[in-house]
Amino acid sequence: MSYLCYTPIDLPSLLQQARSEEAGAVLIFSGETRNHHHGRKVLYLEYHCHEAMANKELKKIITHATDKWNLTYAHVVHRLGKVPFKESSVVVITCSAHREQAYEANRYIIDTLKKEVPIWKKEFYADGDSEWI
Amino acid sequence: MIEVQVFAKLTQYFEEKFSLHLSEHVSQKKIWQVEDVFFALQKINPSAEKILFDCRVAVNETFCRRDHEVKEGDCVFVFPPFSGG
Repeated sequence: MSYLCYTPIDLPSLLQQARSEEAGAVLIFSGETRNHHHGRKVLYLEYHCHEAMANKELKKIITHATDKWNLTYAHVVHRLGKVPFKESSVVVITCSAHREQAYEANRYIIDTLKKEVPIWKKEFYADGDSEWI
Repeated sequence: MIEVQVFAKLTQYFEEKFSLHLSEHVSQKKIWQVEDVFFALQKINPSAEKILFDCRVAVNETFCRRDHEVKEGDCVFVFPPFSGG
């Protein structure tokens, strides 16, 4: 399974896949492009990664979270390439019988992804400059 | 000879992929380690010293520490800090 994509992430479709009779809580986090960074106007972001290693690490994170918080479902999708405003760069979905587990697991997944998965973002600014973050 | 691949900000300091003869950069040793790769990279481009300090590494697509052994033909990935999300 790939957790990576180069096209806009379809949130309604992901939500539909996540729902189940056992899940009383379905939590979606969407990380999106922000139009400013340290006072500079941002036009868009571009994401790069090592796909094989990123998929391997994401699978480990999802498996660990599912086991630790007894989730009924967990999934993450990270977009690569150019991501404009009002579109998701990353989506994390966690589902559990009660909301506490879904919240904690969701936070764990996005925090661990940022630290452990070989993905990088590059910001492109209105002044024509760009910078790896 | 080993293959080195760098990513993201490191591509501003090195070619994205290149072959490295460690013996040309590090004094003769019986066993090479990841640390020797970093030493060689720093010699190739001293201005990369600061960013190399924060990098993680994978040998043959597995994360490893800097004391991990590196053998002829290995593929070494050098990763600057991740920034996904």
